Amino acid sequence: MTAQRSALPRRSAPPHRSVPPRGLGDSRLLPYLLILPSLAFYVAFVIVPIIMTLSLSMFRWDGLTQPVFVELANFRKVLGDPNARGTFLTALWFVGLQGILPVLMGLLLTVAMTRTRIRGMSFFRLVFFIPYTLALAVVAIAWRWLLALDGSVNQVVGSVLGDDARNAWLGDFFWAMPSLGVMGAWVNFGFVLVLLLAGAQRIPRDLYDQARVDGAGAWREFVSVTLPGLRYELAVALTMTVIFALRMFDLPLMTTRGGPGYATTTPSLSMYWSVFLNGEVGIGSAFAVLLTIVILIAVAAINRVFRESR
Amino acid sequence: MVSRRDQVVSYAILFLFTVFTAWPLLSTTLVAFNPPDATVHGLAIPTQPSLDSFIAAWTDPDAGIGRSLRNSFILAVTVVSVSVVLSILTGFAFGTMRFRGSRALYLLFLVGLVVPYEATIIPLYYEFRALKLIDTYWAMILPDIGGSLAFGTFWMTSFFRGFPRELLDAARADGASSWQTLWRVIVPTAGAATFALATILFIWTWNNLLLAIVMIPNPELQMAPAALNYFVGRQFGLNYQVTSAAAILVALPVLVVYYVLQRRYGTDVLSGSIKG
Repeated sequence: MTAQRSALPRRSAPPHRSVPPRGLGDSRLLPYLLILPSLAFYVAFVIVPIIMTLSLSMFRWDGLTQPVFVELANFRKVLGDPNARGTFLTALWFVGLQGILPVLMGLLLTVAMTRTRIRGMSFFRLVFFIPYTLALAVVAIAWRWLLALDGSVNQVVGSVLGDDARNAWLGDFFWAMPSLGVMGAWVNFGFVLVLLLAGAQRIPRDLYDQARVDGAGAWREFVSVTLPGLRYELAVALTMTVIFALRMFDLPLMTTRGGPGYATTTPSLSMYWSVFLNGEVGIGSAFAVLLTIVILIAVAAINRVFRESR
Repeated sequence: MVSRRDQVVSYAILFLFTVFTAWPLLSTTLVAFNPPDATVHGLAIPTQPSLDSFIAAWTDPDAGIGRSLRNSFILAVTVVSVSVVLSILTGFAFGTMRFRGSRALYLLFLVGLVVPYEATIIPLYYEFRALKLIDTYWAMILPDIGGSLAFGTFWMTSFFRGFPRELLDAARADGASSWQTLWRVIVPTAGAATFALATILFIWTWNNLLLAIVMIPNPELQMAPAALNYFVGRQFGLNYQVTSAAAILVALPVLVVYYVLQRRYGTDVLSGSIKG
């Protein structure tokens, strides 16, 4: 991960220098031989395709006939079309709801679970982590039913606010986006919690004792001890959830089909439809390139913020 | 001093989140035990619990979940075993050896941690199509292994960096080669780390929908999440009993793997290697 601390101590030279290398097992080539098979897979199926996507984004191609080089026309088309541009705004909403919100939820739970002795700690961790293990296709089906007109959310809403308040949440121009946001938060918060709890165990107890001696209340203790202590875990958690949110594909594909209108169409969905429905490989590749750039910027920004607040 | 009030607040928060987590799971489970032709409403607590919806999902001739589960098993087991072995090799090299170019090569692998499948899938599709490998397991196995190796390398390198140096030196002093050291000294003690890696890769491989619907469009061969998408999109879109039953069947294997992992090693192993 880019969040990897760069200041790893350089390992000192192994002490048994006098022992001569033995046969092939210890040749200087060994590390390269160990890496070679992985590198071959990785280069062939990750690195080379990235470069090819970059190149495809500068062609007009339907997947069959001769590709035509069009320079940056695909990017101009994507960025010039309000609906296409809008997918990136949608992605930004998801960053808030599926990326940042679950981190805040995880923080709240971490504080709740570390401030006092909790009985059944491992039970709660087991339960909260379950949504993260489920395929998003499974999550989509679960929430489609939960939010359906006859589903149990409307049952509760109907009995509390009256039948007029019932809603087809996923088909509603306003509510479709927040509904998908809550689904993403539901998936991610337990994952964040597991990361943060592991980090919280490494915060020295005496920092808390010291804060209490100094008369710090719950809030001051949180700001001056817990938050700084979890900085690294927060960076990792946020990196993972923000990438999750920016790539959002499965949930809208299976619940809203990007609608109503374009309300929940994400860059990934647009990419998929451009290429595999409309045969616009260049446009789809431009979406892929732009999305990757946004992700790289977001990851760099997150790690910058958390490194500087050190 | 932690007050009584703090404790009550903590339990209240935990209770709310437990309800939040359990509600969708419970409503999905309850509805699935209704027969396919029932009219369902609200929590849909079945009056006469029936397995008919599961049977319908399992045997549906066009998108049988049973068949897709078998496909997903073949995929996940192949991808996970190859990726874990290869990751142990790269982790061993990056984590315990010093060699020219190691830093640059390691960074190259780390790039894969943040690059999404979206950045690679379009050319992958056309390359595999040119090789006539679309609608074969290879179209998923190969890209999935490639995509797993970034995280696997990162994970196993972290493990090897934390491995006690003295043990390595002792093995060396006893005349073991690096290769022997790896398989006789290190791998036997790497149980938790490799098991956790295998679990994570299993979950990711099992759950990958984008790759599944692009690379294997043929319903006969499709993977489990793609079969779910097929269910929702084409036939059973509004039959919540059958779609929910199908979703449960797809979720169960992953839940079992997760449960076994966490019984043996605790949930903490999943966060073990990011301690930085």
